[in-house]
Amino acid sequence: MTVQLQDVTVHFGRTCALEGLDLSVAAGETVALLGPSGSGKSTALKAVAGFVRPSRGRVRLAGNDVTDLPPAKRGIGVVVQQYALFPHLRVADNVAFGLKAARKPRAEVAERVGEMLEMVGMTAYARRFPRELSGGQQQRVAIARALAIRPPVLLLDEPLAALDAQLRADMLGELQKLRREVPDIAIVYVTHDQSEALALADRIAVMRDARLVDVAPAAELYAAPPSAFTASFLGGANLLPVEPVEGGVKVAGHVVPGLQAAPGESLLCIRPHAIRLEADAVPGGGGAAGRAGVGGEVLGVQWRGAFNQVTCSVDGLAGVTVRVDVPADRRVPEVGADVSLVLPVEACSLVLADGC
Amino acid sequence: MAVEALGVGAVVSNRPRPDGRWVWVLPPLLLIAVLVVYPLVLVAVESAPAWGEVIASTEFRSALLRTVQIAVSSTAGCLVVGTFLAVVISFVPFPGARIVAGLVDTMLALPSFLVALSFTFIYGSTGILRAGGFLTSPWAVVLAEVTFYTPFVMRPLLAAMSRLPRAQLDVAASLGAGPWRVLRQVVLPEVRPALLAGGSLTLLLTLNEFGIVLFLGAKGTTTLPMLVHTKGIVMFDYPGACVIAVVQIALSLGLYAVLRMALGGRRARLD
Ligand SMILES: Nc1ncnc2c1ncn2[C@@H]1O[C@H](COP(=O)(O)OP(=O)(O)OP(=O)(O)O)[C@@H](O)[C@H]1O
Ligand SMILES: [Mg+2]
Repeated sequence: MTVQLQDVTVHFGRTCALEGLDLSVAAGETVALLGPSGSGKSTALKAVAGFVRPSRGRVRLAGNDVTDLPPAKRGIGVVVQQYALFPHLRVADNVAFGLKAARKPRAEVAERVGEMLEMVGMTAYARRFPRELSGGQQQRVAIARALAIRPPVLLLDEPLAALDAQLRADMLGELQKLRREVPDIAIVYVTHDQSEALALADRIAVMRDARLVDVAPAAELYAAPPSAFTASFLGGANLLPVEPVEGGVKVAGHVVPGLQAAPGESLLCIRPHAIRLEADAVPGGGGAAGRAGVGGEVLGVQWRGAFNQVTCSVDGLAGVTVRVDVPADRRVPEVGADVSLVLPVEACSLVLADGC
Repeated sequence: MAVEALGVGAVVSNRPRPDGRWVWVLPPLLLIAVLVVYPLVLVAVESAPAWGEVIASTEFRSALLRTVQIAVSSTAGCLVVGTFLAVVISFVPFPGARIVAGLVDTMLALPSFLVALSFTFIYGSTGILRAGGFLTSPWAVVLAEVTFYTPFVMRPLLAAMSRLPRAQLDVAASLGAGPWRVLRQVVLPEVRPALLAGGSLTLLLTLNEFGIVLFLGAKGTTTLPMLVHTKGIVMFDYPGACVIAVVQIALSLGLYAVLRMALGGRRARLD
């Protein structure tokens, strides 16, 4: 394991920013730390880099305990949200900073800087100052600067957060490409954007309130989220309370057959695109019997281009709204219409209710 | 405040002014003409007959040298001490750092001769250290000026350092730079404008310093402001005093121009 966090806990005064984090990242692996604002993602990253000192727990790099080493002795590449390029240094000198700090011979520095700028496509900008670059270009320089020292570990703290949507999509593609160029580096990628996490990460670690909630391979976490929080944060799943019954579970009076509830699992999780909407044959609802799904009423429709996002209430579940994504080529029910929400059993999973 | 004004002035003057605004410049210009320029012109006129004699005198030449010597040494001292203290206050976490930073502001409000007065209690012939000889040497003046003017360097430095993004220092450290390297290659280059502003203000103020020199160096140390005082008030040599005053003004304005050029030039290159 290249990076190993064991029970790492960080306090800022009285606030606990990170509580007992256990996480390891292998060489060549990308782990995304995903979570809402203030959940402790950056703090976890800072603990790895050595910018904050954990009040408890150990940080290991390639098996060596580095908990008490200053950042300068760790040899980790770091890219932060605002890039933090040195404003008084030209692009080439920014990239050379770490190499000069390591007192590498002049010729080697020049060669490596050229190599890195080439890799991020910034060779033509070597003589510019950071303020003469766009956000995306600054970010490329920040990545080149971090990778110049050949770190075994690269930490990225919301590297795309300061960019606009189009550029973010482009840079996401470039990061994927970059990943292939440095295949042996362990990458920790902090983000609150689930699409970035899904696009880049081998594994995703979901954080909430200073704690790690779930960590699993990205596909697994998306397909079968272990907790209600992960289910809703990663992919915005709908969560409906269920009761176990003979041969299935009961959702708002409707039985979904074939689901087996383990002890404590009391929420049904289903993605917005997996629900099918059917217009009710009998307006006003004809009771639960004979219905294809759960009864509900359309509360709102938002057109999102490729699909319509429909919000529905559920009969018998006060306060619960369900999000359904209806492909644009399907008929969209009117607001106020009574509908059946069909829940295909293969798209349903059961999760623990963990207070969200 | 005055320190910031130096930097801000440089920025504003670079901006092109829209037409018609010049009307608003007239009243202040008029005020300056009446209150500042007119008396200065009077001084210059008054000085006319005495130039040859004063410029040739050794008294004047040694005072000019002394003035520049004391101002440059004091400014250098302020820069070294001020930078050191600002770095400690900004980056070394110790209890009471805030209080110390507050004290710096308080120091700015004190009159300079108070420092000189307090020095006589420490180093004076009846003072705690009883080093009477030291007190009248130019070094006592330099020491007192460093004590008094260091906060003028620290104030803009502390402001600039508090604006330095923490992430930049962190990243520099992660790239393998130790504290000394971070200080030299990241912190100091980035606070250079503040250092320049504070340093040049200090140089101007120490060139014109009167109170400290009067209290401490009356016998051994004669600077240009002292000479103006001696000639004009004590010896009633008014034209002679005016010559020195004109030299003093030229020195200050010249230095200010050089400094504005240095700061402005740097800004122009940056923008
Ligand atoms: N230097 C600090 N001093 C005091 N509290 C801090 C400090 N840094 C972070 N915190 C607190 O620690 C908690 C976790 O912060 P952290 O920056 O790790 O969150 P995050 O998950 O990165 O959030 P974001 O997505 O907004 O960047 C927050 O409650 C924050 O207020
Ligand atoms: Mg953060």
